[in-house]
Amino acid sequence: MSVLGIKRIQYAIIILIVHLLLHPPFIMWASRIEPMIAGIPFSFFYIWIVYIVLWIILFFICGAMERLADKEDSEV
Amino acid sequence: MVALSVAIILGFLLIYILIGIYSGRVSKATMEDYILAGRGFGNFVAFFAVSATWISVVFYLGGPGWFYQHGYGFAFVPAYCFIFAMGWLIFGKRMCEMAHDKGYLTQGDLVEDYHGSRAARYSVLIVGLICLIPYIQTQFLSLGYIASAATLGALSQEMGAFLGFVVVVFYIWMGGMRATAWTNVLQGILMFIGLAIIAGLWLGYYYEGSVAAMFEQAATDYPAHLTLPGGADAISASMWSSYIFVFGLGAVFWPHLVMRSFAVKSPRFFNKYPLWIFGLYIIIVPAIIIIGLGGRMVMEVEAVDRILPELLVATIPLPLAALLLCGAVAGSMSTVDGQNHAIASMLTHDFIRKTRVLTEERSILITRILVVVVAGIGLLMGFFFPAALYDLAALSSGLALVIAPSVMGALVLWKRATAVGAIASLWVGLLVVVITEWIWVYPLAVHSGVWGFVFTGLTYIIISLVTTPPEREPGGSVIKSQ
Repeated sequence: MSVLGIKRIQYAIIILIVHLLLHPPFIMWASRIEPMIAGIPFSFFYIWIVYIVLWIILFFICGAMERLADKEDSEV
Repeated sequence: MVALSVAIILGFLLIYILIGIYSGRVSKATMEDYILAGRGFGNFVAFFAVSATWISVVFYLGGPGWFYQHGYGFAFVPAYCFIFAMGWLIFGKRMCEMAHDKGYLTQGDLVEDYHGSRAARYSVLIVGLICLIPYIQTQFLSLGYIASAATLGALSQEMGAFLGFVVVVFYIWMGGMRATAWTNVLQGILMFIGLAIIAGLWLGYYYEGSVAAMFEQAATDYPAHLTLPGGADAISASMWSSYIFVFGLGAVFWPHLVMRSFAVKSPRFFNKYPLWIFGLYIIIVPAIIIIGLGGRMVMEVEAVDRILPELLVATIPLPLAALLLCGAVAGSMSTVDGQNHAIASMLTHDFIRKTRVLTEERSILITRILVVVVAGIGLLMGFFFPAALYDLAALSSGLALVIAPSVMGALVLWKRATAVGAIASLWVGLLVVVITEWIWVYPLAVHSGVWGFVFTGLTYIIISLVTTPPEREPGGSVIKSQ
């Protein structure tokens, strides 16, 4: 645990939950032809909404990893 | 037009040769330099060296082909990209740190050092070879096919494949890992920009640039493609999740990608990489969907992997098609070079150098000769055993998962890990993959790679717990008996 870092495990749990939204039950729910928004299926938007949410979470994780690296560097 | 297309393809191949010559000039005559480019990859080169190697022609041609055939079944791709990004952050960074601290050159170094067993190294080597060689067979043939399509047959598929073979072998011979990484930069740019341009051009040509118009036609003509389980040969829910796991986590432990993690200069690269690769996917995955779904509505193809080149050749001027298809050629080369280089390096470093004393120069020469031999085997296998791109990629990733537990054990410094556990897990895992891939095919509609990983992991843990762990140094390495 000390090797990988407890923070990373916490992040992993959060992103795992969001990531599950890209598995079949949720895509199946989203992948109906109706309703279509401006001619584009809702599922098309759904995937990219989840995708962008994951990207935003990653943004914070990567920022946290950088701060951790800075801290380790300053300790050295 | 055809002559210009041939010139464009040959022009790009010439650029790769020039990069090979230059990288050879700045290289040093050491195995560390030939195998890991002196561990000097900066962020920019490292990003393309990893991404272009991971995203191969399987994605470039196989992706649109998959959507063409299965429709929304393809939506597992964003999910596995995410697993890869996180796996690379957690395990890739740790691999890089350990390789820098202990001077590892290959995955075998890591496994032998942590488990204290030469047999464990050989077992990793064998599984690694089985994992990579079949994958190579698809790459050269695809390359030949693309060259042939882009020149309307002026270059035959065989000739295209052979030209690709010569160029790849040449630049690996000259510059080793450095040449593969530098060519990956150009190849990656060609691939990623090419896909977006192709999607845009195609939309403009058929639907006046309107995504909505394309989907409206799809909803009328191919409604099954817009819902799960998808179009023909629909993917099941369990196979969907299998693919996410196999493609995402398996790729993290591919021997050639592990070696790239060793070659990165600063472990801080891994803090940023997930953000970059995931951002890239947000752009290129919609492009693949547009090409695959659009292609479904306007033409029938015999082999689904060929939808992208056939669509291009049919819709835009040939030289422009050839230019964009150079991205697909790049996709092929950027993966096959890394795999070839990794196999040759592993054979030299993990086997030949462990059985006899060799100078650095001699070791490099042997590695170079092995590059030619391995690429030749891949080329011939492609001609005699053609296979679907995605299927072979999934099998290769699944086999990489067999290596994963013993590497993970070392990465998390699991104190109870033993050599017997590692060796047993590798052979049990390999056996399980063989059985569930060819004999009892995909039990419960779960991919063989997942079964392999489960049995490998259980064997590693159980056998390690019931055997006596070795004495270790503070850093985790096994204390060698005098």
